[in-house]
Amino acid sequence: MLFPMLATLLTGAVQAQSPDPQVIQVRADTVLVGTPGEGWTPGQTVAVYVAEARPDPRTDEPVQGLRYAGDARIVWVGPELVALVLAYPVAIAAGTPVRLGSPQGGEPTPAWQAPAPVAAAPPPEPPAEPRPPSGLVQGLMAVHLGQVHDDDATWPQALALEGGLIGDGYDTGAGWGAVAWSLRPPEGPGRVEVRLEGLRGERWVTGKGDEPHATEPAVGYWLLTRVDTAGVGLAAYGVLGAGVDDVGPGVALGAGLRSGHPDRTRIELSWQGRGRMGQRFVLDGRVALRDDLRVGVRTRAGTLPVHQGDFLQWRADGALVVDAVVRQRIALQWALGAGGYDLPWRDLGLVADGRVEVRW
Amino acid sequence: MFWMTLAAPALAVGFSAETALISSFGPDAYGTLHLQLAAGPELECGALVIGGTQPGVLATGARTLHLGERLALRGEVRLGMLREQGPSGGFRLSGDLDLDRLHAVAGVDWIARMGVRLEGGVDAPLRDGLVVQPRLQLETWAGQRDPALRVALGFSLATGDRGWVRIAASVGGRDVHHMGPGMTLAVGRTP
Repeated sequence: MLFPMLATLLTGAVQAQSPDPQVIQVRADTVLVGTPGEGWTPGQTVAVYVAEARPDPRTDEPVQGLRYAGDARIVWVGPELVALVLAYPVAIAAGTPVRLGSPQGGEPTPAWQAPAPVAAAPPPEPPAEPRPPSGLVQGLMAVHLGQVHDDDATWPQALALEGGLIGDGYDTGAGWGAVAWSLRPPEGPGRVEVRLEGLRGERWVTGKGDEPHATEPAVGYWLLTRVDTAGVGLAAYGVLGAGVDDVGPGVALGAGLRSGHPDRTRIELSWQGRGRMGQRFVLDGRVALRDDLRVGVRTRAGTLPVHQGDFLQWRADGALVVDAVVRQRIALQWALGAGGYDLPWRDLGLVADGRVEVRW
Repeated sequence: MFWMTLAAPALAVGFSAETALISSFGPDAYGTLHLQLAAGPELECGALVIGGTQPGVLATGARTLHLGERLALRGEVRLGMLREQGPSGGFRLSGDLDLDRLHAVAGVDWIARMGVRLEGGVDAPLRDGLVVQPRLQLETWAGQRDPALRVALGFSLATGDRGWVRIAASVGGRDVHHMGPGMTLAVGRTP
């Protein structure tokens, strides 16, 4: 009855191998049950199992398991160490986890060997020097978004269509739509996006005493480029573009910080400016519930289109955002919330928008 | 293959919900509700609702950084709107220093046109899963009023399956004529 119990009594790691390759010492400070050394006496015979990793046949990931290394005789027992003499000369490296059990009396199981190749493989070629990626965009991405190791690897692309409305309870809300094409390097979360965006809003018209007394429509169209760096812990992105509104041409600028992978749990804080059409700060946090489903909260605080350069009206909105990936190729996003000039319900309007992205 | 027909697995998602009612028997009573979701130990996002003297609703996003084995820093960004004040934003920055048996904690909380709140204290484990949390707070919360000093005593209890409950009681105010009680209750689950 003693040896079945021993199987759970001692689990440790090989401390050192003495000059005699058949003598090993096992640390007993990770004993699972009982007091170290209790029930052990020199002279007992036990089976020795050593931890060994084999590749998973499906994923090739190393999987830890146990291999029988033959029986051994306990020659010395102390409160922290147990010394064993192996019945067969088995090489066990220092630090290898070991478990002892009931003696089997057999020969050690051979160590796992990688299967021999079926046909003689050609001699491995020396690793190729990284080649400069072809094309201006890929070159920029290789420099700024991450090292490209395989020039022939596929660069994922996506085409997105999005749009929505930002209500504010005073019929001065905005509507917008955009089409965007993006390109990612094969490795890393970096991205380059080219975007065509249209925005229709209302600007307050000031009268005597600089008090706003009426509104007039404002429309603008923008061509934008956005570049995301490849970081996951902390990444940055910049937006540069140009456009025209119903007053004249303007410049679009933007900058943001992101923490987390863009397609998983992440937080993004950004500032965006669209010439005279206004500016806004955006805080967008998403939490991945599953690999293909995220929920989050998005708030935006910004100004309405400017009239005569002096009067700035601020407005904020918040929305619950849900996004899902369907069959790895289509990403959908919905946002629903409220926004306006103040918190009471009568000052709030509906905020709703959506996005469809096709990836290939 | 069998494993290829499985749906995408659910990730370990954590959450926290904290509500507080603070009164100084004056005009600066306020209550808060802070809901957060987290899919990992380092990133959280949620919403903060503030009621009372200066109401507001803000979204929050937080990141925790571990600097070495003993120091953890948590930064939280907030953006939203305050009643009659319009859009507003702020941050909370807090640190946790592991001193073996004790944890020293400190934090600063700021929202534009809402005020600032400084907090310091220790987390001292009493027994498995139970931590006592004395705190000292200095705040101009609820509309940037005169500074108020508050002393709080809290207890945090770990429950099964990575859950936890925290309760704290406090007393303080702007002066001896404007002092009142406070109560904080929080529950959560670590992802």
